[in-house]
Amino acid sequence: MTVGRSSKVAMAGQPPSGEPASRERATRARRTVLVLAALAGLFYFGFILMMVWR
Amino acid sequence: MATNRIARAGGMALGGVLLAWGAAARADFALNMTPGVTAISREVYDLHMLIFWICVAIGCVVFGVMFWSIYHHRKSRGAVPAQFHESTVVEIVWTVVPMLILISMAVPATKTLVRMADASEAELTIKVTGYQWRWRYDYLNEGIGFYSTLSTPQAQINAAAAKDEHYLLAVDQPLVVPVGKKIRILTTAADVIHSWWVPALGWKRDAIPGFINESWTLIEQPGVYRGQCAELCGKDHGFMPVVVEALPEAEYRQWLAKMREKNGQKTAQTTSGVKTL
Amino acid sequence: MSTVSSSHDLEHGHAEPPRGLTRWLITTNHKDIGTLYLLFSLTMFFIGGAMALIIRAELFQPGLQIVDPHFFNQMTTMHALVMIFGAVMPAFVGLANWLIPMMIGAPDMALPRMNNWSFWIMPFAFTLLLSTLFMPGGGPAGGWTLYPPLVLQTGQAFPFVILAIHMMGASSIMGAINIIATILNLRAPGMTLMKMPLFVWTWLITAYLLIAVMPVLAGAVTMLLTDKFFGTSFFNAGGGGDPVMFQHIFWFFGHPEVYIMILPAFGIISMIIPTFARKPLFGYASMVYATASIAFLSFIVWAHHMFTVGMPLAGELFFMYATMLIAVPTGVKVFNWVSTMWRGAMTFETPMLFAIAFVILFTIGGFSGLMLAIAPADFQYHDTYFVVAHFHYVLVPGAVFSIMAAAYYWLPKWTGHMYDEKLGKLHFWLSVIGVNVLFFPQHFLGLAGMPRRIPDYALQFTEFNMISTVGAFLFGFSQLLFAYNVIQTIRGGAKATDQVWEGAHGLEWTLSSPPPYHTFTTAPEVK
Repeated sequence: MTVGRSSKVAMAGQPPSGEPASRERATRARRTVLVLAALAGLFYFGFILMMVWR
Repeated sequence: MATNRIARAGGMALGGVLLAWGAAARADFALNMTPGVTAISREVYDLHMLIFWICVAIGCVVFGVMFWSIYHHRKSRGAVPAQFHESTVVEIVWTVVPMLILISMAVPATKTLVRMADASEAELTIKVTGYQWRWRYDYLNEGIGFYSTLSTPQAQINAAAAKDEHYLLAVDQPLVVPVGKKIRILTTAADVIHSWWVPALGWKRDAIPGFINESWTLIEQPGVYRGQCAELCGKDHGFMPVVVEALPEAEYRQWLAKMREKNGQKTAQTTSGVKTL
Repeated sequence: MSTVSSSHDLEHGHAEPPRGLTRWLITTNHKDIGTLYLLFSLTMFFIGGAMALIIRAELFQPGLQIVDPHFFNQMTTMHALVMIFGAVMPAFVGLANWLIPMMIGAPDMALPRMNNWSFWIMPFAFTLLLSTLFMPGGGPAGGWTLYPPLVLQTGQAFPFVILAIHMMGASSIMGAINIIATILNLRAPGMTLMKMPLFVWTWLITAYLLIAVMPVLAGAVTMLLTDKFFGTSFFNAGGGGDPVMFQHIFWFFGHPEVYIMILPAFGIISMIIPTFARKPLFGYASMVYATASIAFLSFIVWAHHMFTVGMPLAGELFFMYATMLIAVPTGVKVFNWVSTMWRGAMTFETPMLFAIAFVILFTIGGFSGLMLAIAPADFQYHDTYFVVAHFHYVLVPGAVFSIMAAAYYWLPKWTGHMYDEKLGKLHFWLSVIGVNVLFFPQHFLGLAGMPRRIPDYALQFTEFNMISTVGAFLFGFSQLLFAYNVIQTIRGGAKATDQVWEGAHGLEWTLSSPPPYHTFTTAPEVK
């Protein structure tokens, strides 16, 4: 995935410890994105549902 | 050299402001809000001036310090930068002091707001209905009602004729009210949202389809007071003025009698029309 | 980075961007995307500006001379949509793209391909939006606030406008997610949150605001769409709905939105003033807390845009008090900037001039904002030119000046060339005079009783409208100098040093000017 690649680039200059650290960072970035996207979805559907229910 | 340029440009800007001010004075028209013709509108005006002068005072202090600093603490004058970059005491001071100033503004504002919200014990109720693009006034207890439409001729708008004194602020039939009486004004609309506003009364209130808003006024001096629709309501939003004619009690009674006689038949039809909307 | 070969090149440290148009279409490089955003924003600034000039030309004198009222309403609506969503917001996203990775020592944004996508949605969204002007019945004419029932009277353009707004929203949300993911995950070792430059801080907070409110706008316009085409009655009183409810939802988006347009500006000014005062920013921590407080308060003040809709007294009191409270953190910011200047050693290059003008003129906009917060007085100010003057003071010499300050400040870093300082100063002085001649008289017009969004006006408003129009043309045409200066700087000019400004500090100034295509592929150590 995109995140993985870019983080690999990020750590390209730090040879031995680079790989696991970059993968860990990619996982964290992916998690951040999922949480934020879920938040955006919650606000979108939340407001519409609130109005429907009203 | 930079100083010179700044001073010159500053001078130009100041000159521009003075010029604008002078032009305004010659044109003999309002720079400021009107104190209006009701107790509430005067309170609103006083509040406005109070906040205005507080802002001017704060502005003088802040900008004064800033300009002093800009003049003295410049590299071209050999200033050596200090390195201080925080002070908890100072931060607390300029959090607390503005809070106190805000409270001193909030107190009178709250009082006025509470007074404006109390529409009880009105002697007369008028329903104002916004239409695209005219107003309708219904005197609920008197059984009369009529539309009020812009009377400025199209020729004046298109510059085919000279514009008269009340260009865009004149209607065929103004809202006529008595002075010295508390009047309850109910605003609503038939199509889209409008806003009924006469600056001399000190407030505006939205006219919303399907809902009724309640406001009140008590006009002290006879006269003709002009305003406009204040909420964008489509193509002719700029062409639906509000004109209020405040008459002494006796003259108002005469007008009422005349209206009842003239409009009796027509009114019955139109009010029922409004109800179905 | 989107291809294996480029990431392979990177590891050897001599990556070159592909040539030609494809470079810009498929780029995932934060610098390229930043440039695209900024150029897009400049284009939209001129399109929206042309609309403003049509408005001001019509208002030069009473009577209808140039356009008919319906087209006038389309212009006011489109001017706002284009300037807000097309000029100011993309400019800040462009600056974020260029600067945030360089400021926190990251190699790029966290999601480079999504970054490409969030930009390339924008040109399509705006082509769609602008094309509505040529549709039967014209473009949207109900104001950018899209209040029903009026907005439902829009002609064939309506669904296109809604779709365009959805696209802009999607773009903003993706941009915001990307920025947060970058800041939270890609900081260089040692770059703790409280060491981040303020521009990064303000953008972090802004991005959260975007994620919270852009979906709300999208939800609101979706409901407008279903009201118009699918027989729902969310906002239709006839079917049991409530038109005022739309205003509540819209302003729940709309008020944080205005802070979305000013918080990054605060960040920029907090970077520029210390540089040219040669003194560290006063009260860094309090700046961060003030930004966070403003962001929090922005969610509980929305109804001050609707004091006249007839809320219960308790509601009006609450929103009045909450709104007044915003003056406190905003005041803290202004005081901190002035204290940063105090006892510094200032020089007045173009970015600093714009920053100083920002502080003064934004504060004037803040004062009128405080006046508008007072509910009883707002019953007079509401929907008049006083409001127009107020928000243009915070948006033009506020947000737009900060963007220009940023452009002059970082242009030598981006291009490797110094811009023409003389031309920059000329542009500054013409802009600052133009903007005041343009907007200051509008305070008087509003207080004297001129409603906003009217194509024609009563005779007592003539003089100030004339002055305002003269200012508008002066300000508008001065911006051509800016475009010329920027283009000339991109094409060539005196070589800029790496640090560019004597007092500049921060990771981006440790890079060469212009920086290499890929930067910080090895994360720097921040002490």
